Amino acid sequence: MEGGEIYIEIAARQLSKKGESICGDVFLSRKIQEENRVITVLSDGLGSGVKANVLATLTATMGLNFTVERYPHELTARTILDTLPVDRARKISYATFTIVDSDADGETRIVNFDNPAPLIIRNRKLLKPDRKRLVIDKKAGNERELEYSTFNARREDRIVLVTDGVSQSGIGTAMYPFGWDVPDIGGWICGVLEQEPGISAADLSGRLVERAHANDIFSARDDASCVVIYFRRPRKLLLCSGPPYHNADDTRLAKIVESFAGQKVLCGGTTAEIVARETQQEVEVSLDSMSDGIPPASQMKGVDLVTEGVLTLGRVSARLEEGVNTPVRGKDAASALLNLLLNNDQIFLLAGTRINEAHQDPSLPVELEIRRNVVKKIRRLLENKYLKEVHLDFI
Amino acid sequence: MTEKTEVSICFGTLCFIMGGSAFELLSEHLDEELREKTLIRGMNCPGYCNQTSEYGKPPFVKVNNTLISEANLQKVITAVKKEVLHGADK
Repeated sequence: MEGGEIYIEIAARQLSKKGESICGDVFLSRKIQEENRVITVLSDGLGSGVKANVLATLTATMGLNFTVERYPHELTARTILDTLPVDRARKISYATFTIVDSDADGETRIVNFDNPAPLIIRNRKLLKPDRKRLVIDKKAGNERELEYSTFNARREDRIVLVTDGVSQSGIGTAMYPFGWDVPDIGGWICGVLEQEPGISAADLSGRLVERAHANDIFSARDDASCVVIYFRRPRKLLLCSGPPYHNADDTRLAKIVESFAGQKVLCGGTTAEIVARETQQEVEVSLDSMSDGIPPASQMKGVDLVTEGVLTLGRVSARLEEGVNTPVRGKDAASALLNLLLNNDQIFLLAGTRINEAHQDPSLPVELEIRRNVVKKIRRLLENKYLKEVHLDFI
Repeated sequence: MTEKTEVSICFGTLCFIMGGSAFELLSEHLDEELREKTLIRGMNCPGYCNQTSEYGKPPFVKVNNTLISEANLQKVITAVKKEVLHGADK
C-alpha cells in the first residue's frame, strides 16, 4: 500500500470542575470528506457550568463553521467576540479558542486565542513553529492578540491542546506552586512517549487529564480538557469470511491474507481450512474461550483471530447495533472480533460468495442468515456509527 | 499408562446450532475417572454435514475413530465409556 498515507486520529478527554455536572470547555471536530480536511476546535468558556458551556459551544461552533468556509482568522475572532453575550458580573464577553485545521497531506494551520499554547510533538521533542501575532479589536485600548502558526505535520507527530484547567492544575501545591505550566506538560508527554511511542490519542488525552486531576488532589478547580491529534499510519484490518465462489480462487484468497499488511481475521471454518491448506498451517480449536452462545475461537499462525462464520458475525452485527465501547469485555470470539474492529481505522471486508448447501434447509434455525447480508450490515454500522473507513469486496 | 480416549467435537456452524454447543461442557458431565482418561478437543467442520446420506445428521462428535451423528450428551458419554472400558480390557 502507499507509503505516505496519514491517518489523523483525534480524541479528547474532559473533566468538569468539582461540583459541576456540565463541562465549560467544548471540543468539536469535523472531517470534510470532499476536501480531505479535519478541523478541530477547543473552546473554554468564561466561568464554569451551564453558562460557560453555552459560551464555549457558541464559540466552538462559530469557529468551526467559519474555518470550514476559510474565513480570515482575525474576522472569525472578532465576530465571535462581538457575538458573545457580556457577563453581568465581570462586564466582559469572553471565551478562548484554539482551531486546528489539517489537510490530509499534513499541512496544518493552528490559531490560538488565549488558550495555553498548543504543544506540537515530533520525535519526543517539542516542535516550535514560527508564530505570527494577529491583533484584533484595536479600539478602546483593550488590544487582543491571536497566535497563528502553520507547519507540515509528518507521520507520528502529535498536537496536544489543553485548557487552563490543565495548565493551572496543582497551583499552590508544593510540587507546582505556579501550576503545571506548558513546558512541564510537554516534558511529561515526552516522558510518556518514551515508554509508549505508539500510544493512541484517546489514551494519551485520558492519561493527561487524569494527571491534571491528580495535581489538583482529585478535586478539580476548573474544567480541564485535553485534545490530542495524532498523525499516524492507518491501522488496517482484513476480515475474510466465506470460501470463494470458484475453487480456483482459493489460492488467491490465501495470497491476499498472507500479503496483507495489518491485522487479519478469518470468520468461518471452511475459510480457515482453505487458508490453512494453502499456507501450510494448522488450525487449532481451543476450548478455553468461553462461548456465550457462539462457537469458540481457533488459533492459526499468521492470523490474529479465527472464528466460526455466520453466527459470530451475526452476534458482532447485533452488538455493533446496540452500541459498544473499547475495550470490549468478554472472552468469547465475538468480543475478540469487536475489539479488533474498533481498534483499527481502515477495515477491508472480503466476503466469499460460495453457498454452503448444508445451510439451505428451511427447517434450520433462523440464526443462519445469509453471509452477504450480515457482512453488508456490519459494513454499514462500522461506517455510519463507528466512523470507520470500510471497503467491501466479494470473491 | 493407557492412551487417552480422544473426543473431537465439531464446532462448525451447523453442528453448533443443532445442539453441538452443549458439548463445550462435556468434561463436566464425565465422572472423574472417565475425565482423566479422555482428551477433549474441538475440530473445524470436516464437512460431514454436506454428505448427510453417508454420515447422518449433525451435530457430529468423533470418539476415537467412531463418528457419532445426531450426537447428544447421552450418546457421547456412552461412547466414551465404551472406549475407555474397551481400552482397559486390552
